[in-house]
Amino acid sequence: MRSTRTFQLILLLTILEGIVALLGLISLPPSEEGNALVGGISFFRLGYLILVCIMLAGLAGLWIYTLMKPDWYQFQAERIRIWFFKHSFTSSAIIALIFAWIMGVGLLDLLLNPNLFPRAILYQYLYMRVRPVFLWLLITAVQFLILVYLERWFHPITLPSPPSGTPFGSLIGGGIITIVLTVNVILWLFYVRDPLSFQNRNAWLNGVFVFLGAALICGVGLRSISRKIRK
Amino acid sequence: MWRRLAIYFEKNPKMSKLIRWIEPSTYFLAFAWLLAMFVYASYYVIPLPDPNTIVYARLEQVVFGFGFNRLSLISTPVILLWGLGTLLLLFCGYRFQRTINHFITVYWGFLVEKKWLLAVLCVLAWIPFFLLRSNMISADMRIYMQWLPDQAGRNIVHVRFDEMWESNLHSSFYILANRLWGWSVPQSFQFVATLAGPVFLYLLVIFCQKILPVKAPFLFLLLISGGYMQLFFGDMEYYTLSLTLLLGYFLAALAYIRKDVPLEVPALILGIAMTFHMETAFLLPTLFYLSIFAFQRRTWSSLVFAWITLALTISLTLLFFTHNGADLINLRDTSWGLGRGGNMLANIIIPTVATLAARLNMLTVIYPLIWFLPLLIFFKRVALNELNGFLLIGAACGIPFSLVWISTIGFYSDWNLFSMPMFPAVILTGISFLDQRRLAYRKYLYILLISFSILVSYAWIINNHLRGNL
Repeated sequence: MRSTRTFQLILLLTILEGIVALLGLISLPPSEEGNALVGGISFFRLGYLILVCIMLAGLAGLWIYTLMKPDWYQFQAERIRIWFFKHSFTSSAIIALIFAWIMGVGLLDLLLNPNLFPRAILYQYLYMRVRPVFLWLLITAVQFLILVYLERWFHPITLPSPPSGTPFGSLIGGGIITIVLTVNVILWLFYVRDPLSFQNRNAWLNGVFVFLGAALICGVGLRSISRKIRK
Repeated sequence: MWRRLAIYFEKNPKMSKLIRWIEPSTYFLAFAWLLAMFVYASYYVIPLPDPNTIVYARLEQVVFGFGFNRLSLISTPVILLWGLGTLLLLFCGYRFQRTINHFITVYWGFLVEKKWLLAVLCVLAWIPFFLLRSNMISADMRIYMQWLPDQAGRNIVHVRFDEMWESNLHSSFYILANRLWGWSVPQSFQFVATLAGPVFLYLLVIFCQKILPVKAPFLFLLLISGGYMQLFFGDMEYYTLSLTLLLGYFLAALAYIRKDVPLEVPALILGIAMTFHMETAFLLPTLFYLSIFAFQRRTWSSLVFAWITLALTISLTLLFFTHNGADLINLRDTSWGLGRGGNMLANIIIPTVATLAARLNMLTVIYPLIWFLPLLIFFKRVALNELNGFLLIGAACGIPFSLVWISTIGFYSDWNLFSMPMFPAVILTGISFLDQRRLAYRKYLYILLISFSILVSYAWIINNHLRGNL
């Protein structure tokens, strides 16, 4: 039996976060006098608020319904699990797009920070209006992914268990990539410590770069070859 | 809905005949409409003196602009010859279909089997690439013509954040060619672009063979019929090597989906492609998609090492160029992609009617048959399989990018910037056209589409060679 509590908890969190987003929208500066329709809110902002309210009401309704009928969620969860299994490609695409959404909103939030990018101030008039809802949807997307993980929707029902143990070549390949990663981090530390001296062209360090590039390709190649042998 | 309707009609014997007609008729009508657009634009609309400048143009001149008026580049005898040739092909398709299919299958199979022969033929293809090289110089190229000799003279490393290895390799080759043979900047750019052509063709043949073994030659023809092939005909910009790497990434992704290679391989190639041109970052969601396969396959170490490999490729490249004199702050502040010291969002603009029309013209230049993609989706001809999922995500990121990303030198000159984002959609269109059964009269449709697309695309390519401004 699947637990309904996890879903209820995530749904409740989503509703609470949605209310915070709604409060964020309400606390925005009032619209210009010419555009204000009622209480300093323009026609478009009113429509926007109503839309968010409808979404919240829908989620609240769903939450109450799951409290009243816990079996309903268990039935739906099983249906979703079967759907994920039958449509491995579509479900993968959806998850990939959710990742892209999280990344996109995260990037947008970074780029529209006027402290980092002064020109971002030009877009604040628009972004401050959508930011609360965008962030809410971002957190909701993360929570959805957590739910997918906890419910194991993404784990195929009949998956042949992978062969135990890691091939030696794959281990060496992984080791090489780890070494390249370590050297890369050390080089960045050198750069951060003294950027000017790092920028001086130096033949032996260029040789190191060539070696690291070749090592990275070798590492990936080794892992690829050992996988083929195992297959 | 369409599929349900089709099943309902097919159960009814009286209606089954009708249903067999609707879909192919729609495609033929769409082709006729496209042809009519080309004819109208080419012979009944006065072309703009400069297709990049649309501010003072009438809307009709923009809508029926550079994407559609390419028949006017071709002389009447050539069009007549093309018409006769297409009729002949249609007749052959009707009369000798089996014989032709047999010959194509045998020779193609032989070619794919003998990789060395394929390699030799691809190398030979360099000759037409070079002979028909583009002589069109864009506004960007005029800047490079000043920068490169100046920076070479002062021993400054030429690297731009948006296209790190592309810019650096082009610059290094220019310095070498200039010293050895006295070549100019455009000459060296043309040569490097034509060198990428054979590699691209080789990879494309392998890719087509792996996706649709039976119909690979037709897929190959369908894919090379686009105007984006101009990139390999000596296009003087920083996109040629990146597109070749992009195709390599698609091949690696296909191999990963088929469990032939681990996730690190596509990640490494995408990482290299990003160091060649940062524009390829639009394909990062497709790597997410592949990562989900790794998640499903429970290959955790592969998943982790793949992303480490991608990050390392970019990180090491940045360190390398920083060590060789490029300043990180300067790289960031001179990047067009990052907003030239401002904000990346400055590059995203909401299209007006005129700019949208110009963009659609640009997409038509890149691949005329892209117009059929909505129809293929409507008729559910885009098969829902793993590879198409990969391509759909690429197209879902690439097409919006092409519709909202800023063009600073005009859409006609910036066609190459948008070729890469459109590439997944181009491949998806080609595959969806060919990977279908039970479509009546499809062979005639393929002949018409391929021959028409080749005519308009290669007329433009040849025109760029003959009437360029070099």
